[in-house]
Amino acid sequence: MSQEPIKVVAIEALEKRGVDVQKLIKLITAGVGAEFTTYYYYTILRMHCTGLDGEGIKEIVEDARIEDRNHFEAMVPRLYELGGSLPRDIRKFADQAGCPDAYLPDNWQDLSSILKVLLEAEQCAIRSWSEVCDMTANGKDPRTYDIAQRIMQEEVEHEAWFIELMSKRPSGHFRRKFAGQSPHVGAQGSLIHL
Amino acid sequence: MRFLVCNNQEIKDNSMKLFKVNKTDVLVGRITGRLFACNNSCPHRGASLAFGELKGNNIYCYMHGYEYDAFSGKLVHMKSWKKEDTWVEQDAEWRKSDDLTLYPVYEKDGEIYVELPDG
Repeated sequence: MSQEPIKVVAIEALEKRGVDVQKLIKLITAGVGAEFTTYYYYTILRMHCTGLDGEGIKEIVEDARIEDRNHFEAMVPRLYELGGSLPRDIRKFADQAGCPDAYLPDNWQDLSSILKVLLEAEQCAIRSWSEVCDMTANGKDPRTYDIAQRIMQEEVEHEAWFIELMSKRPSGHFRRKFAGQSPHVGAQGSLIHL
Repeated sequence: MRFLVCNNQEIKDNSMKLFKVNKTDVLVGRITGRLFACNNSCPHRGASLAFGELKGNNIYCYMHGYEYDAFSGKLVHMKSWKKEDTWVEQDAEWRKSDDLTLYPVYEKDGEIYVELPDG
């Protein structure tokens, strides 16, 4: 077997278009870290959406929870295509995540406190994927851009949902066809690019 | 290696602007008449510092609210995540950040130049 480095034309093409591939790998690793940790912490937050008010929003939290996991699933293969990888230790993975942990607040019995945490997490995710979209837009990296913009669309929807729940500002939300449908990242329940 | 960035009129006082210099994203700015130049990537999580703002001598990153001294490059303000007393602070490992990558910058004959590392 030859020990010469393997030439990856799909990466070379990005570099020729001015994409800093190592920086892109770093941003994507941070982005999928945020999606994965959010999925974990949203599980805890959803469990604490209790009582009459909580019953009304737990399905919305569940949609966001599953869709954030879908974002992780959709982008991770691209990370490996680019030559990146997930950290071997999940602790390191969490420590480099692009967004802070969505911890359950001490006063979780007040449902609005949970909504604030959810909103903060979605807003951070929008900023995080915006960076990836910026780096890859205008034909520089159509494949990464396609996945990132689909994720962005769902993160924008999640933000609008939680703002509506907190402030009554209409979001255009109506129920998903099934929990965590991912209308942009997924297609008929199977994730795009997988 | 020295690179010409722009005419000095392009960088107004108390402002900053992003330039692509030899494949590197360089943020050049001026605060109370003094120039600074740094890599545009936030050392915390890689956000574009050009989307941030200047606060006194500091560059404020829009992503997580960290502030770095534009002249020393040092992290001078690490935002707390406790928006409310009932919130739990983030883990120290997650919060830590390197300092800015600064580049030498100067004006000569009405032009602004930066020096970037070779290679």
